[in-house]
Amino acid sequence: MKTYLGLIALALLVVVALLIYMVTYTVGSTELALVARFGKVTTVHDGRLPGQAGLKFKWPLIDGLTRYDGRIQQFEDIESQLTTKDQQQILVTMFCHWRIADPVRFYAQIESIDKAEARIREALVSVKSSVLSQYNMDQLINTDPARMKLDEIEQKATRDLAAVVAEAYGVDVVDVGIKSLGLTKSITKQVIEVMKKEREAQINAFRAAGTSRADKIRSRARTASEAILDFARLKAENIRTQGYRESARLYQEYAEHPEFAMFLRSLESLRQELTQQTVIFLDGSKVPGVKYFKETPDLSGQ
Amino acid sequence: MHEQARGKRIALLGAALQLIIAVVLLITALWTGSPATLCCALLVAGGVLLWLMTAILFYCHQLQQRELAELDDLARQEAAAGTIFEGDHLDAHRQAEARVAFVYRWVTPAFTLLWAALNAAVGFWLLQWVRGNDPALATDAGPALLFVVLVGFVGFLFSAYTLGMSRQQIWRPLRAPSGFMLLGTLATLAVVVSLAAVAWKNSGGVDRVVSFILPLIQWVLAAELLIGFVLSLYRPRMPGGEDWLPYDSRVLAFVANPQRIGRAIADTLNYQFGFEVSRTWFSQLLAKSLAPLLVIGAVAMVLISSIVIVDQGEVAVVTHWGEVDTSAEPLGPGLHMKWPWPIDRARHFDTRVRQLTLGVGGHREHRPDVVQGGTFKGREFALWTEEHGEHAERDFLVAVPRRGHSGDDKADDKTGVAPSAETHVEAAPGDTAAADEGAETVEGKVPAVNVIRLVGAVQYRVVDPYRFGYVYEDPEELLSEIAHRELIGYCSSATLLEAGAEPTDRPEAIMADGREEMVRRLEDRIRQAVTGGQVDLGVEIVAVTFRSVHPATEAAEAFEEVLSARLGQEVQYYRAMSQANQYYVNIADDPAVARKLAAALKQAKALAWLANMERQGADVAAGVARPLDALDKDIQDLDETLRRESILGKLRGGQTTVAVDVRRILLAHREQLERIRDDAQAGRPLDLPAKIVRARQEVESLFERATGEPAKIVDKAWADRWKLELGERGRANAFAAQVAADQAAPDVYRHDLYLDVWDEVLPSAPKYVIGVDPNRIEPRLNLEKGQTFYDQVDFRQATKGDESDE
Repeated sequence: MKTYLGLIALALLVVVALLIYMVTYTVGSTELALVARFGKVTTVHDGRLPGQAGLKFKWPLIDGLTRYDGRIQQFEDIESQLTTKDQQQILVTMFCHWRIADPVRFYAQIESIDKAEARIREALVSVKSSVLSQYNMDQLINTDPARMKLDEIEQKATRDLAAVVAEAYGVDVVDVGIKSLGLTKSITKQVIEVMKKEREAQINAFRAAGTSRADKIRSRARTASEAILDFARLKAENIRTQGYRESARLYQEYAEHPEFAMFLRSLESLRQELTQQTVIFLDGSKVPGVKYFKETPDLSGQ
Repeated sequence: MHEQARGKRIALLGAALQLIIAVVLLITALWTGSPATLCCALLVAGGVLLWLMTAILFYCHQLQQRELAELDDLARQEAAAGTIFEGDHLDAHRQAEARVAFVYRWVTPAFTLLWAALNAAVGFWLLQWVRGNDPALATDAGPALLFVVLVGFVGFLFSAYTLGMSRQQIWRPLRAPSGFMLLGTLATLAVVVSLAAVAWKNSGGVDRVVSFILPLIQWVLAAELLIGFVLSLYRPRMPGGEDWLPYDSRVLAFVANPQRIGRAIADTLNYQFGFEVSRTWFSQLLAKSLAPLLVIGAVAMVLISSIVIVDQGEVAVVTHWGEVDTSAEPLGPGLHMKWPWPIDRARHFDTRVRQLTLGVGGHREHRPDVVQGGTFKGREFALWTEEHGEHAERDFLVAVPRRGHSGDDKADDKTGVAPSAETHVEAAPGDTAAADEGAETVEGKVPAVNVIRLVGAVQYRVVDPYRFGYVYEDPEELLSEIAHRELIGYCSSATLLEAGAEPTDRPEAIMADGREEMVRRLEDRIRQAVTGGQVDLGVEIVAVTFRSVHPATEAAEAFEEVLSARLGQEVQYYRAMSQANQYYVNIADDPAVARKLAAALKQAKALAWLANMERQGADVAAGVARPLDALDKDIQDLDETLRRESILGKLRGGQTTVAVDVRRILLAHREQLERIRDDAQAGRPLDLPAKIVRARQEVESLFERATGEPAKIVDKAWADRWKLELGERGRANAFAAQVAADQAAPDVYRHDLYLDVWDEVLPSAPKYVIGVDPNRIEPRLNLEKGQTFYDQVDFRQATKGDESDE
């Protein structure tokens, strides 16, 4: 028997440990613990408050212990399609941060975190659609940050949600925010089409601007070069005029013999004119020697 | 009697061992949350009852033996005393025997029923529980596993030993609990396998199967016992026949027959280890020092649980009875002491930089019809026009700038785009211009937004584990939600490519040069949202990065075309520049000369024009405006050129280009004109003629260098001029001589000259000698161009009645 004393002691130890386990419980700093005797809550510990966490005692079997996570919980609701005030369709996902504020009420009303989350989620979906229906699309998305009301929407949703669930379930709605904003598939498609059209307009504008600028550059250069050439031509005329002026002086020589000068000039013209494309008809009867082509010459003499 | 006592001791020992195994299994079950372990623990726990029942049986037998011995003594004494009362009065003393008979008649059947019912009930309850429960299993079951293996092994040795004993008639009652213990050890083996699968393969399948099998075995056992019990009621009792204890399962006895399976396992073990395990000093030692070993093990566990080892890059928070002391510093890297489990518990926090991805949803759905980005020649690539990345990218909505928004027009001018190119969509409420493409749908108007894709990351570090771990249930998810909220809030007022001229609060050009600014601002926003004020996650935002910001895949092509159009614009620009240069080179080999000359000419003209105004008494000061405007435009054009040249790096290091030179000249001209305007306004003398002279000098000096077409024109003019003059001079000189000849013999000389002309002209001219009467010939000339000379003449005999065709 003595050999097994150790074993028996060990078994006893285990039994004692089990007993201790049954009469004690700990409350963590993040936990809420409720002790209920035959279902009636007798003690509540809120571990989040200073001095409430730690080791506690209870009666075994008759005292039931319920613990809750006292930290801030969060969940995202479903991405649901909503209508804004200006009849735009929009997909919104919101997230919600909440925690248990009144454990007794929570215990009495809803019992479990999972159940509570399901209820709050349901409430959020309805609050979300009613809040968003009071705002226009351009209050969600705008190039002017001053006109955007996202913060206001979130605050309003937080307030409205708290009004529905805070009292009822003993919870505290810490924060409600927008996790995603989107458009339905068909509208997205159209938006993308519009984006494409915008870009096409931009492309055309770029092309037109490029063409007009190129034209400007070319015409500027052409105008400049024309101006210079005009200037050169002007100069050339001046030079030629000088030549004319010089030759005019020489004409005085001709003035003394005008008739002869005119004769010479007419000969000059004749020479110029007759050199090209001249066809001459000669009257055969007048040209000596031609008659011999017509008649055989009388070799015996006339 | 001695044998009975030993049997009782063994049975009690068995009960203790069975209890220990059950407790170890129970603790393991609670630790790991493994259903199979819980089933096994309850199965094994039932065995304690069997051992106790067996111990009671042995105890009764022991008492019976003792009584028999006493009666024997008494009988001997009485025999020696010669008592005449035989037998009867002794029978009255046989209480122990009667008790044994009672136990066999009533207690064992009752126990059998109870035992079967218990097994059936536990089996039923476990099956129910297992079916409704599929818990996540802890994977750190390693140390627990060791203990389970240890107690399982001890249980196996013990059961093998007691089964061996039970083969002797006297210890036969040991067979039932031993067989059950062997079943327990087999179940423990199954649990070990399932826990190992969880720990190393992270697979809960084996556990689930085992957790169904064990309750079923309990049912089978219960059913067998019940059927056996009923049958035994009708079993003819053969005198001298051995009574089979009703709770001794035949099936188990068959299974546990040491000559069969038990032996087989022992043999396997022995074979595996190469020696007789069950007879080694180790197993002997184990059998002797089991209790001390267990105690030492427990103490070691307590000691181990008093030590906290914090790795580099970690901090640990110790809770005392679950309470967090936020005033204490979290434990840094190194070795620390604490109260043993379950008083103090340590929770470790990784303080290295973590990353959270923004802008992606779940995994991308695979669509064979969509080209997916991926790898090409071993390189990963991500194109706008193709879906890329492991996760599906979320859509983000950004605003479309409204027409006439301050700054947009200027921005557009800068890029040379007509102001309405980007901004045809009105965002004003109720304005149908939002859908000016006529894209109205049943669901509503097309909203004034653009759809883009954004993939980014937030890098952060835990700095305050008390806030990070003890205020929020899932702080990482919370951070992700808040970061997305900030991202949406920020993007909702963003523009994609367009930057405003004046700096504003709104994010601009987030797809282009505004990206850096966007990252900086978002980082600030997220940091403020999670560290200060209402939400304090106890993290430090290290960085916010964006891997990609791009339009929705379907629209990406259009965006790329914009860029290509922009490039096309450049091409046009340079082509025009080269054509313009051609014009200038046409003027002078050095295009700079041409441009300067053009500028000088313009200025000279302007001055001349002003001088003209002055002569006519017009308002010169007002008149200057026109040439000044023209000059300003030229200067602006040059500035554009210079901007491009500086982009191309042509102006680096004080290098000058044509544009720089020309610009300097233009500026000087403008200054001159401005001075004239000022002088005119002040009524000072303008001295325009002198200025004109200077301007002309400048033109002349530049013109000298114009080596192209202008030079040709001027040269030609000079040539003409000299040709004319010299020709005239020659003729004039000849004239004097001709006059002399004419005066000498006027007729001859003139005829001579006349015939000279004919001599000169006639040889080359075609001649027709007409041999008939010229009056009868009608030459017709066809003077159409392109006819050879001879074709032009058509001779026809003009006969009577012969009509011409023409």
